Amino acid sequence: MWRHRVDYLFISPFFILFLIFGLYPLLFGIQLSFSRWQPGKDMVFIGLDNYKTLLLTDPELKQALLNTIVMLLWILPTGLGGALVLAVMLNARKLVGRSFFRTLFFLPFVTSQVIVSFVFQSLLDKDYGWVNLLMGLVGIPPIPWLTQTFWAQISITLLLHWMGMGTNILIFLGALQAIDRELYEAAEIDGATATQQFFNVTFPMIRPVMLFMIITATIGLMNLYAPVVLLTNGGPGGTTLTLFMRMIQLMTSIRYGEGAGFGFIIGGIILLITLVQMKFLSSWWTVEGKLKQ
Amino acid sequence: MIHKSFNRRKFLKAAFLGTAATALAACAPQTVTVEVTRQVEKQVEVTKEVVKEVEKNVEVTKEVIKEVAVTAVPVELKGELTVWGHADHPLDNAGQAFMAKNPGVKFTFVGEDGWDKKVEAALAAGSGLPDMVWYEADATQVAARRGILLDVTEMVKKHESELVPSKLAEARYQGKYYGMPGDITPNNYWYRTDITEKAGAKDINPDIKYDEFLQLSKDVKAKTGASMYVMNSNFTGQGILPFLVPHYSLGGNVSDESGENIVIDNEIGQQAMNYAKQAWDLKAGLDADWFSPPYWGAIKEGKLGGTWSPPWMRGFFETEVTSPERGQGKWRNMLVPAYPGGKARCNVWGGATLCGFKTVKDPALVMAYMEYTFASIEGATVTGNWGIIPPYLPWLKGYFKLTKASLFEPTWDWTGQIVKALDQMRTDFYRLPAYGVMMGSLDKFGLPMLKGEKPIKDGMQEWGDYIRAENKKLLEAIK
Repeated sequence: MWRHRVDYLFISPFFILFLIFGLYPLLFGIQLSFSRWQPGKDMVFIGLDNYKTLLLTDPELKQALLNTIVMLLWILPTGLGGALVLAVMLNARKLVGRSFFRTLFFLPFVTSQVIVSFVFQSLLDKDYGWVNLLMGLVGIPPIPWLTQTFWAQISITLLLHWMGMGTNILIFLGALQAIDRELYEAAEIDGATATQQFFNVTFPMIRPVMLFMIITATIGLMNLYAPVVLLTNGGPGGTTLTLFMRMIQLMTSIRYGEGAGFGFIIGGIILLITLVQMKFLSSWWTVEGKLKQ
Repeated sequence: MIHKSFNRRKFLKAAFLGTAATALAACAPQTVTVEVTRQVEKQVEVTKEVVKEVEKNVEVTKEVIKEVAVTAVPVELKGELTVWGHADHPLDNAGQAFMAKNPGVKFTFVGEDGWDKKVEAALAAGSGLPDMVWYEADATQVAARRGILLDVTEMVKKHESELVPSKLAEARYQGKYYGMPGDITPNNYWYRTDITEKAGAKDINPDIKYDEFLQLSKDVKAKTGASMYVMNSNFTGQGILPFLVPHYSLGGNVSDESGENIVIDNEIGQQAMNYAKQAWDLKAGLDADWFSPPYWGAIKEGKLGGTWSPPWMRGFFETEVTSPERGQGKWRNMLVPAYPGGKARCNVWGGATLCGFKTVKDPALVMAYMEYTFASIEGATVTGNWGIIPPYLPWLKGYFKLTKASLFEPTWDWTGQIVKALDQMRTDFYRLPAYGVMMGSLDKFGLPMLKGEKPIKDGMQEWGDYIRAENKKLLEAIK
């Protein structure tokens, strides 16, 4: 070890930062989830009480979990599906202004979430928003975008798609461009139509990327916070309250032990969902399965 | 200086009105009816009363100045003070004035959202706390129970008789004071006369009953398209006042004085929710989230003709309502409409307390600033000019009348209306930790009742049970 001391010195910044900002908070969080504590006071070990309180008596956990899963079911397929369709279109060799469209789709990603949310709030206001005003011109009655549960979820979905679509398109585009063109030429010689080429060449080749996107998007959506807070603040009546928002609520109510426990419950739920996804989509890790047939 | 100009201007105005009224009476043609003459005489009487009132007011302020001059202690203060609170703050204004008076003091105000989270981080770190923060009523009570606040009992006791009693209670825990009573926020009903005039009657009857008020709101909405109250679909922000106002007025509470027994679901709570539902069902309220762009847009475009409002909203309104086209100088305020069986024609919403931390380096300096800000004519004038209502009675009875407000009609005695509301404030209203739980869950439990998805009795019971459970957990956590 002494022989490699200089090597260790060079890699030490990462480990020092990891210990301070990664491992220490994690261990502190675990300890906190089994304790009652408030800043400036001693920590009191209370065993599983926080977890019992959360799982048995917290009325918001069930609601937040349900809301989050409903939003996940809305957002995940429409977001990834839409991004894939747009990426395939942008990948078309004959498309004029491909770089322009790529930049255009990526632009929302570099815009502040706060500003975007405020703009959406103004656009989607029931009485004064431009969306309803424009729809009114063609005789469509005003939609309560932010004040009725169903429409509030649609609004959140629209906002997230608007903000996240560009990144998803770029990743899919990278995967599409990595596919060997000879595969398409061979398919064409075999007489495959464009649709058949998509399902028998394109999709099998990008499945690992798709799986990666599903897992990371699921994790991201389970931790959904800022856009929802800014757009609906969990309303109307808590029907868009997410898991992460509830955790923050507990923390800001000085119920730190419960908040930490809630964080680990969210972690457990994400782990469970990820394992299920990996179990059912395990064949997607490789591109070989489909091509071998 | 200000005092002299006030006296002269007011006196001249009163004299002019009196002379004009008398001249009018004298020049009246012979066909003028006796009724008109009576009205003119009555006006002259009123003018005389105003003059008397102004003179009395001048005497009070003179007394106060004399008193301040006698009690002022010429001690040179030195040191540094840091205060955290929201941006654009009256405490910053007071700090600048305090520094000007005490050149040896360096005052820093940090105004940003999320300062309360920074307090928690500093508490955890064991350093970095400011000297003072601007805690809401329930947060003051939580912090006092946590034992993190500076005991300022001795200083507050000195001024106890000069401070508004209901506000004193909010800073008190187990007989000790843990903060300087700040903004007392006796809420009024505000309305725009140009909008009510369009609907057929400029003035609102000062003794208007709630059902009459609802009818008026309906009429104004039908005739002008403007709303006479805010009631947003999310039941948040200012939209919750249709519940909070009758709840306060009828004598309701979230918890009893101990903070442990939840009473929100009693008959008073149910009745208050019933009144809120009446306003909801009328569909005449402004449906815009508080402080959102559509909310300010509606105010500037004259879509809001009235609202229950705390005095501190004036500071925010005057930033936005900057021209007569936007309603500047067209508002009036009055006692809130009367609810059958109601005790108080006002309510309390917001209004914070100035708290110091027990870790402060120089408690004497902290208390000197607190005293200056809310227990001196100078400090109360500075903070009062911003828009909040300091609890210092000598200021409220004297200099408050001099506070300018561009929002209200120039001749309207808006401070008098606030003083009237002040007299209605309850001393049996408690904003303890449970109050924060109630405020955080009002939309979730209130909406199903307003929408008629749940009977009010059942909904209130369910809400009460929720607050009971959450309050218990909160009190346990901060033990």
